[in-house]
Amino acid sequence: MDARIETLAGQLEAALSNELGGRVRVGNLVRLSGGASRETWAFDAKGAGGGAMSLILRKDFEGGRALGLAALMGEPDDYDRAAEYALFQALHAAGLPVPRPVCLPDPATGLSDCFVMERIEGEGLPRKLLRDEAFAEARSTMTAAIGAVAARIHGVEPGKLPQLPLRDVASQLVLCRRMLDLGGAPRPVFELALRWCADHAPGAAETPRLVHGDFRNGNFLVGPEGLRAVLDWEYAHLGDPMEDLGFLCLKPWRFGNHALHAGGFGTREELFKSYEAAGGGAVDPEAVRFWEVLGTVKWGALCTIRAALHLNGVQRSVEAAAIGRRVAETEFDLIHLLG
Amino acid sequence: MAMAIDRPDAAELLEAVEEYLRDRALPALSGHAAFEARVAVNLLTIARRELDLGPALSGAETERMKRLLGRDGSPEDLEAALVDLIREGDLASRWDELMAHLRQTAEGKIRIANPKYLEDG
Repeated sequence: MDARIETLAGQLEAALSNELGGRVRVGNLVRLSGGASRETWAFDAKGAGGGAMSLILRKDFEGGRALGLAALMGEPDDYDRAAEYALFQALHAAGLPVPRPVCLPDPATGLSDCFVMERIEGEGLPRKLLRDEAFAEARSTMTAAIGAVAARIHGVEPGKLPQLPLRDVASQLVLCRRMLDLGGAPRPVFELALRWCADHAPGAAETPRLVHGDFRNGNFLVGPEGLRAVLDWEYAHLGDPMEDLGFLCLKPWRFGNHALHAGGFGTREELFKSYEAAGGGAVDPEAVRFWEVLGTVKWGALCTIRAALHLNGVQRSVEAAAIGRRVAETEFDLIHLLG
Repeated sequence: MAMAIDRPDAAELLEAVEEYLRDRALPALSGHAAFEARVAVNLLTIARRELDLGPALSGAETERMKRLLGRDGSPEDLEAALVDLIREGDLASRWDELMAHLRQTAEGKIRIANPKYLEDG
């Protein structure tokens, strides 16, 4: 067995034995996927009582924190894995479809910047969800399910949540400005979109709501019958609920189903109807459009940063180089949104 | 083509490497390495399209910026001036011309980087 996997398995056994009591054995530990800042590992755990659990470890990438947005912008990164674990506990307690959090390892076990949660079986790859025959039935339910789960997320009582950052329009415009400045020379289309956003900001919601912050096709776990869970809460914050609806409708998450704005599953109108029917409150289409523009700027800025990290030698890869040449697509999308 | 350069020229070299990666190396790879090799093949295709289309598209972009701004300058100077205009200037009076320029510029970049994106609408 690979030395790193052996070490990690031993650390997980120690952490889970502490948490659950008795001797826990860990097996079948495999790395699922990378990201710019995160590792995801799947494994099985067997307790002293013989009960087996399928689990997931989410761990910050070695050195990944230094590449996180907060670090890049010279801001304190106070939303760490412990905070994310506390959020999962609150979401699970509120009955939202998220994996059950199982353990926040004691750093004394050698594990830090990570947490363990239950593994929910399902498919998350957007192209499979939008194309495979196995998900034909699920597809017909997805727009209603996504609208309903958004309504439930936005309906969570903020007092029942751990402290989350408030990200209103003004602070997100500052965020975009800083991201664009990190991404290289100023680009006319993004400058135009930022100016448009400053001129068209919707009024602040009377009460900031829980916002997922990365609500898109790609973060939905789906079974043949339909939506099973909403994943990747690392950008969760308090703010305008219309942000999640706008972000969901970004063109890159339609994966070719361009007429189906809501993640390639359904139209904006169908999404709004299901959101309102599930008690999500009245949708403001103009605010959704605003957040679609701002979300596109944010996504484009992230792409310019990935490309800049490649060009200045911090994180070189063919994938990052390719991302640099896809920024023009977000510019094209913005021109359509603003035109 | 300058006399100092023999064939295969730059575009033909890129094509040779692209064919090697796609037809010889890629079938022997799996997992993340295969994914990266497919991305690498695509990057070589982009580089070849840039050699082919880039000069004319860049020239047309510069000419449009000169007309829009009513001044001369290097492409970098002109783009910086365009950014200044967009940040602080009066856009309403030339909105249509500005949007037409930005649309043509983005379309040109996509014709090099991912022409399929334009077909998909």
